[in-house]
Amino acid sequence: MKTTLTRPLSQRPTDSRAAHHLNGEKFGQALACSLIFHAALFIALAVRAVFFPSEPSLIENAIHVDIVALPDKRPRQRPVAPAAPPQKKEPVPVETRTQPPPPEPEPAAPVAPNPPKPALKAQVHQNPEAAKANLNQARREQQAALKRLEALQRIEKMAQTQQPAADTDDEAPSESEVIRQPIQGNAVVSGTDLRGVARLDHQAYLGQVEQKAKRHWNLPHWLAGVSLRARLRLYIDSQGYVVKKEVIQTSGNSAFDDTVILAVESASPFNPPPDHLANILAVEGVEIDFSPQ
Amino acid sequence: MKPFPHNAMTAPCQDGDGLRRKVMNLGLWFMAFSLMPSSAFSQAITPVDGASESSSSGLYIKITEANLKKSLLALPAFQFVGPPRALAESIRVGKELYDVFKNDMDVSGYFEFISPAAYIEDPNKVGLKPAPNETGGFNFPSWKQIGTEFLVRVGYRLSGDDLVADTYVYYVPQGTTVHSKTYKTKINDVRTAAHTFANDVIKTLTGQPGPFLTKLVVSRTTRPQQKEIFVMDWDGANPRQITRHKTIAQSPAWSFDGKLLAYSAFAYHSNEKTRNLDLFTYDLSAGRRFLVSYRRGINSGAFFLPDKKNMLLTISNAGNPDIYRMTVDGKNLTRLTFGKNGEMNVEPAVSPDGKKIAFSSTRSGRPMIYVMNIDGSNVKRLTFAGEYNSTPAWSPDGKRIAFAGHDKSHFDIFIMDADGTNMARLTSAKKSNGKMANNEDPTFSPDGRNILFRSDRTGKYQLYIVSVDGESERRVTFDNHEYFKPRWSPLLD
Repeated sequence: MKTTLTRPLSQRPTDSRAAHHLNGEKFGQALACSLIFHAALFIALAVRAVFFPSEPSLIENAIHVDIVALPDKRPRQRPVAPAAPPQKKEPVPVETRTQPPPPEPEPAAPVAPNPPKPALKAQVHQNPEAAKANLNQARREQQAALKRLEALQRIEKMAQTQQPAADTDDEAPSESEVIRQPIQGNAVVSGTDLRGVARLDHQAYLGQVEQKAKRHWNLPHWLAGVSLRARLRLYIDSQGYVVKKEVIQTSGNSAFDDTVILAVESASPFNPPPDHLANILAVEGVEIDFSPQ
Repeated sequence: MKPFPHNAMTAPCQDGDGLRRKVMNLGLWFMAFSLMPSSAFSQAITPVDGASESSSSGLYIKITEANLKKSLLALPAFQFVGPPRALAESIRVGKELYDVFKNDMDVSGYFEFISPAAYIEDPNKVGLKPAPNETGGFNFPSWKQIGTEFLVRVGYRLSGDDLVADTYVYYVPQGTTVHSKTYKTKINDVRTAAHTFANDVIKTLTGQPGPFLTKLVVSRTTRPQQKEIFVMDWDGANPRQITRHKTIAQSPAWSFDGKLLAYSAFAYHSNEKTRNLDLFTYDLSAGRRFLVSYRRGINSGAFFLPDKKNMLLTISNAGNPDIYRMTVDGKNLTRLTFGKNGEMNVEPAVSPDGKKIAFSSTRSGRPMIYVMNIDGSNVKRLTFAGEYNSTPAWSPDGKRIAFAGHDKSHFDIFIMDADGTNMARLTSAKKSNGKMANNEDPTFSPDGRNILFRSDRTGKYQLYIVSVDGESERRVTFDNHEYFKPRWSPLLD
């Protein structure tokens, strides 16, 4: 005998009225519950508000604060120009200075005396071992190469310690200049040259000449307080080299004049001038007025 | 749609369409014509700044700034050329002469010394004068080679009670003698000779007088609870006690001619049976002191005016500490600031041209630096940063003001332009316990190149000096006392 515990689906009352009656009842119950709970919640909160009031929350006006702090101490600046190699109380770099060649950052001078040295050394080696010519030849060449390397390294080191600003590229120096001057806020930093300028017009070129000469102009402190003025006329060829310089107006102080001439000499070569300026620069030249303030 | 005719301009006007096209073309031609001239004009650029321009006679560049650098100075030990008696004394005297001179040259900020290890020739084996003219003299090329700019050669001898020093200064790049002088001094006054030599060198090179014979006036502890006024050499030597009040004497000041001092001391008022901070002046040459202002309360912070007749000071007998102008004898009083409700206006400092007064005031809530005209009008606030700015000091050229500013936990010396811009911090030091030290009471040297101040970085307030760019700092006093409110004298004749 089969007993069905649950009525199969087909036999459940499908009477709509009955179904409706059932749903309506449930709905009514749910609604009533909801209403009762809401009412209870409302009454509870009302009772709490009336009989147990909490402290009122403070609404304050927003405070406007300016943070204005005293500036920090600037880190010790490495002087831009060679404030003489012995910055750190250690002697003028004894290694480079005690050598016969003068300590000037010109590639020509230090290198020139070096070739004679390997030659000397080569002679010393040759005399006692005249028979082993090939070996000596190889050794000699090795020594010469080493000496050249050492000389180049020394030049680089001198160039680094004496002139941190590279002069080959014109845009890089203005960047390193910017880095050397720490930004202190509220100060406008001089910008770098615009890159990608296709054509140099003459004002930009003169500006470059001015910047380069200014970078190479070193003045000792003791000459800085006096108001001196010197004027030079420079003739620049189409490659940017200074072919001639004449002093139009001397400052009256020969030491000051020397600094001015040295500035122009070490700044040469400048960038090659644009075509329409090249003629004027070679024939008439440009007047440079040095008057520190 | 009709195709756009190629020769629309010349095509006869046939219909409305054509007319429209004609107008459009006219417009295009007009635009083209108007654009062309502007591109032609762009070639002729008129530069805005005067730095580089085409003047009528040619190309022109003006350079107004250089890289400043210190000059290399070779200062070999001074040579004793005198009779070989009393060797120990001559060594001592020569060393003192050398040390004082070298310190002066170092503080001047113009020079960088070449280490003796770099000398090519031994200065002890050659003479004081250059070789070609003098037998056994030194050789310029050997000094030129190491980059020397200036060479100092000194030979000294003792004769009786006197020290005689022959001094020579050479400019090596040109091989010229820039200074050649003989100094004679008593053996116990060697420092004066060294300072005079240093002053002469500075004067020869720069045209400005050197500051090395100037003095400091300062309040210094004598016993645990007492401070007295002292005058000493700028480098801390030869301290001379000026006051003997046996109380606390403080805030000294110099008159503009360096002949009078002013200071405050807690003097006893017998009728009131109490001590009061009174103002005194002291005549240095006569050695006499005068009681000038003894009003109830504070009579302090004196600052002489350049006119020799008046001084400024802070008086509080009207209720608030305010700044007054007073005649030097204390008789006539003019009130300059009018503080209310506990506002304080203190520490006046007159600009070197006598036109403005910088002072510290709490009128904005915290002590800040203000500036006003000499008659008290036109008060302008200079500092907005920080929480406690005080003791303003003018530079001798009147362009900058130094002050002490409190920053979180300690005071530091700051410098700014006279209009309050370009502020920079000059000091930053740590004590041995790791905390930041206090650096206070700045005062400028008469040549404006250095600032003297007091610092407790060693635990006690000692005097220090820093260059105005903040780069070199050194200690001036080396003792166990404490120093307060130093003031550097003007250039003394």
